[in-house]
Amino acid sequence: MGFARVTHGAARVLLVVMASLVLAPSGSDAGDSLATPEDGVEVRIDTVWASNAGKAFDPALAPLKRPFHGLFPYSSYRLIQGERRVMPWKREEQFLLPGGRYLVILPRGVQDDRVSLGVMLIQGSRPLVNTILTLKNRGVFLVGGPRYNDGVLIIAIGARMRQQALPLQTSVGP
Amino acid sequence: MTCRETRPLLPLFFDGELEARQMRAVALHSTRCTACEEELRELEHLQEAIASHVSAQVDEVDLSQMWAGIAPRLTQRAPSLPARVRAWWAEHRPSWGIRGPAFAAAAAAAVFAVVAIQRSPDVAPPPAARLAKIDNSAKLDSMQSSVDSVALVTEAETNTTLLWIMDDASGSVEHVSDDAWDSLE
Repeated sequence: MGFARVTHGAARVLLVVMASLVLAPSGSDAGDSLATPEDGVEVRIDTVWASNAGKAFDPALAPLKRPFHGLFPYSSYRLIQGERRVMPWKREEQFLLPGGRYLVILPRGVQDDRVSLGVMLIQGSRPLVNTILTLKNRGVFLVGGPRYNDGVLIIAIGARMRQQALPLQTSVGP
Repeated sequence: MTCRETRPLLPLFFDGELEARQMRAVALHSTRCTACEEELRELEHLQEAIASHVSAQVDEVDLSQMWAGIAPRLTQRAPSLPARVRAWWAEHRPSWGIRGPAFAAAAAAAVFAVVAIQRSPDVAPPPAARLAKIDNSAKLDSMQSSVDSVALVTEAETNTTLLWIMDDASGSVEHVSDDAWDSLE
């Protein structure tokens, strides 16, 4: 079948196109109330491998210690990937994740010290979840559940407006 | 990544001191390599042993009076310039035993004030600013999902929101702490 012969890369491109259509701000909802400061927004995606293999808490995750311990029953949390990018508004970008997954992020704008993001999590060729969230500036939103190596992945999505951003460190991709 | 490349990095990996790319490579390797995984476990055992020993030692230290000593300093601020001038004048004026011209006294006070400002330590920032509470509050404006079910949970102390994905290929409800379900939205 022709569809079955679509390569993984092509499928991903198709999904990203789909994501851009789905995540694209719709009509009047788009820019009326959301500001888009010139400097863009700094988006940080940290991928954590949580499991019960051993007992360790990655020091790099210190700011997330309280929420992690409040939300999850795991004994071990390890940062396995971290990526930080300055993104322009209203343009989606992909963040590759372990296990053939990736996030498509669309910064939509800012209002009242809150950043609006379109977020789509895709596994292989399957969109798992597609959401628009409003996050407090400098805040973190968690997406968890995808299985990974006898544990699960927890994806921490952080956003901060650029005028308050720290100097960028080296971005690390997968 | 090979064992030879991985082995020297294991302690750094365990301490979280590697770059993210290396962290990922070592993590991936250790899940496939029994020997490296075993070495990681030994590091974990060692850390647990040290942690329990240190914890036992710390438990014996009486910290009950520590906060009482710290708290007053948190609100302590450097005196204002007029207060410093007045204090200096009040301290030195009697020892001179003279009633010098007001202009000379004022000039001396001004010189002292400038020196005092330059040498005084920085005013401590308000503790509230330094101890600001983490606020990760967020809300979902819309959501579509293709998985069996999803859950939205909020951790109360930091207002951190978790979107938990549950389906056959990803996760199950048991992977979220029981306490967290109290705040299920």
